[in-house]
Amino acid sequence: MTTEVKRSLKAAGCVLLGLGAVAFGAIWRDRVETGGSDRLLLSNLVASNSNDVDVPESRFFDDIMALLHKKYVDPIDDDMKLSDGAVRGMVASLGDPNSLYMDADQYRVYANARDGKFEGIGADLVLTRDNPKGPVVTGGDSDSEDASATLPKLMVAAVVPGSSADKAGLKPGDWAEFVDDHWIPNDEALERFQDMEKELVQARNLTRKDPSAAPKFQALASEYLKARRLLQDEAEKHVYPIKARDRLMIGTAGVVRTQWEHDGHPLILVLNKGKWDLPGFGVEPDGAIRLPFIAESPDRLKEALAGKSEATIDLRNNVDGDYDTMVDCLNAVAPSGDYGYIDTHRNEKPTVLKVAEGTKEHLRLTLIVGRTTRGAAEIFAQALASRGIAKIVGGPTAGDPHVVRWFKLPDGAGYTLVTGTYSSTTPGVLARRDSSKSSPLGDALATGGKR
Amino acid sequence: MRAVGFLVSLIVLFALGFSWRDIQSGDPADAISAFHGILGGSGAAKPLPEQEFQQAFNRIQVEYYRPIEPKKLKYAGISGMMASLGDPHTMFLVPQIAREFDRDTKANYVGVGAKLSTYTRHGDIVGARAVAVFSEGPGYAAGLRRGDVIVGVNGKSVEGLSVEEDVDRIMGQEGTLVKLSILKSGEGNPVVIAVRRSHVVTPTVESTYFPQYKVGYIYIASFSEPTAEQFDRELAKVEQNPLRGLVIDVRGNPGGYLETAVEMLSRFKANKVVVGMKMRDGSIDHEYTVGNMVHDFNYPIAILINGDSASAAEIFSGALRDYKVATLVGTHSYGKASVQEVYPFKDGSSGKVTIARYFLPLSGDIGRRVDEDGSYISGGLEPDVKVEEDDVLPDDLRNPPVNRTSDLPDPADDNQLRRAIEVVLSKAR
Repeated sequence: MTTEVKRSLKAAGCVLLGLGAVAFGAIWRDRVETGGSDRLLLSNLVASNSNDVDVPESRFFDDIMALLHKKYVDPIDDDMKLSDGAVRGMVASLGDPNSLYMDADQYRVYANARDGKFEGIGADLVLTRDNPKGPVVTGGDSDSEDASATLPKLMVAAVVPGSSADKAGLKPGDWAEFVDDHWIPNDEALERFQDMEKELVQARNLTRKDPSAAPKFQALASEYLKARRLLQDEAEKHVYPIKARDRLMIGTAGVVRTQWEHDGHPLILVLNKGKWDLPGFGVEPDGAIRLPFIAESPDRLKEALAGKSEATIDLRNNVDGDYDTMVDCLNAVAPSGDYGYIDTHRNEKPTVLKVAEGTKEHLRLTLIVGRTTRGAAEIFAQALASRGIAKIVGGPTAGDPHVVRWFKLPDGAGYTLVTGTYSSTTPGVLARRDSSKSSPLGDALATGGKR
Repeated sequence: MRAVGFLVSLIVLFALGFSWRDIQSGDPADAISAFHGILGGSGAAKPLPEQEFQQAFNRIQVEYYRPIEPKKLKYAGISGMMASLGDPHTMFLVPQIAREFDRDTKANYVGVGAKLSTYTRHGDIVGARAVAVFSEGPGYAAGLRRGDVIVGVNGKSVEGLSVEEDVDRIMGQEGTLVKLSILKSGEGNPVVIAVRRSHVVTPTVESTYFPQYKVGYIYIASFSEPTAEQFDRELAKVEQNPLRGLVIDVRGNPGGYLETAVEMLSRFKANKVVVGMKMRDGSIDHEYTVGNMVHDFNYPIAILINGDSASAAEIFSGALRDYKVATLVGTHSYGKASVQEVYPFKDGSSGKVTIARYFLPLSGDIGRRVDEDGSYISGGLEPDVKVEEDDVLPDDLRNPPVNRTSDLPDPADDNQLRRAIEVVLSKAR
């Protein structure tokens, strides 16, 4: 039974990044009923059971599509749904919390959120792993299996000021545990359970040597059984982190009942959904420039800095910024030159982050950062800090300096793909782990993921 | 004229509604090109599904920041494509899974005749423990026993390997030898035994007799090729005892072949419809039991089911309940009301596709309904006597240690089984 819980949670891990079906978890309970084995002679896939044959992906795709059209119990009227499903499956197989497939609705909402226009409870939620398992840089062996077996947490990356999430006191760093009474499975719950099991085994071994330890064993055993029951009940009514994110971030009407972990305590909130806008580019009364990476930002930034020798730039609430826009903004504030590396970890030479045009004057910059400074915004800050151009105030940042690209499919669906990570120093150094040691920013850019 | 005006405003409203989503996302150009498509314009040529797939396949390989194995990516794409139909039973099986699946369903393969599970010590995989050794298999003849731990195959350590990997190494050509290094009962120094691989038929049916109740017990693990024959054999064994009732256990039974279920139902009822299948062209096929196989069960029967009893197991138990042959005890079953066929492909993988849906003679459609998160709402067979399973520690966590000689449950610590025994005894004459 224990293994069943593990298995079902493992299964959750395998599919949670968007592969809607319960495919892998279902395999063990699911067999076929086959009539006479009517073998389909497909053009390129005829069975011969040799394992070294590699069928090209395009033929595979065509042949399976033909198979489904010919055999599946319901008529298939939309082939694009099949190819979208294939894209979803491929992206999900990366097991990467920043590489995600989105259907047309999701794409619309999340693309809008990137521009500061939010739906839902008014919080930007990201999937994150506190403890990335295994090395980020991999050699020949792919570690995607391990990666997909760990469940990311659904964490608040930023809160829109004035939104219902903000008014209720939700804070960046809080993470979601329940949405509408559905449990969001997470690795920690599973690890806690496994720790209990280990403790129980120890108590059992002790009791076998020393019978006076029996009461402790009994107490642990009943706690263990209670925890197992709870885990089973919760596993029966669960929602994967990625779907929980949709429930919290999509829709402009209605309420959602939620439970969060907030500073180590549970926080139960009933939140209204609505439409909320993050403040866009602008200059605060104290002169600080609010800089999100949205389309208008590079030009407005140039205007705002014209004739100035120093400036303060606020990079908080900058979570999903567009990488190219970030580079344009970098061109507006920094002299030409090299600003670190985008490492693809693919045993290729990393790309140099270059500022091509740059500024003539040497601006003195102060950057305000925090845990709502994430992704491209972190790269912006690290790049400037690495050259001694900017002073960093606040922090730590989110610790996730990835380059994320967005791709839209013809029917409005789309996906994101992490194409690199930033490293201010030697190529190959893991920006995420070593930034606190090697970067001149000290604490300000230490990894902020761990609390 | 007014009609025309009305029509025009309708069209405008339609256009607005049609493009609302894109206007919201600040991308009206998309709406215009999509609208163009409706009116039959050529617009920008829409890529074909296979082009969309190919493009994403290439892009992920070239642009994703970590190395990717093209084969894994291809299989993930095909899996996602099959999953997109929204049917959890239509799925792609990668070669490894396809092989295991085939082995399990046929219950008939070349090997040594043992059921293995991972054996760990201090959290590290040491080898594979034989949790069952089939007495008719070559492993048993060579001295392999339940509880032995296999730590090496053909002189090579299997430390750290998964059971599937162990099985791949142990299996091979019929008639060839495999050398197993084993720890007897998991202890001492390894001894090497040589086993000649041969055809093994997995026992899918086991039985025992509870003399204290005068009740027989038959456990059916799956409905595989040899199951009906094995059922007959175990039934004969049980019937050598004085019987006041019989408990048939299909808890955790994931199903198997429909023919096997029908063949077994023929022991209970002659010439009856056991299942109706609705095919993709709308036609309905009925499956009937045969007429000359009926066995005289002159005692009450209870069938134990739970949430992991699925497909053929549900047809078997549902039909026996519908024909008032048996009482169902336990918790509701899985609710799989569809039929799949497996299509093997050239590279060892296979595709499992739902080709029909079925319904039971009286219980009708038992298909599982889930909410949008996949959580169970309804479906499956409802038991006549509902009993949740008590929380009991797994054997390996118990103190004092449990030494079982078989995998079969003990009424002393299986409350569902105890209830099923009570049920048959209450109906016994």
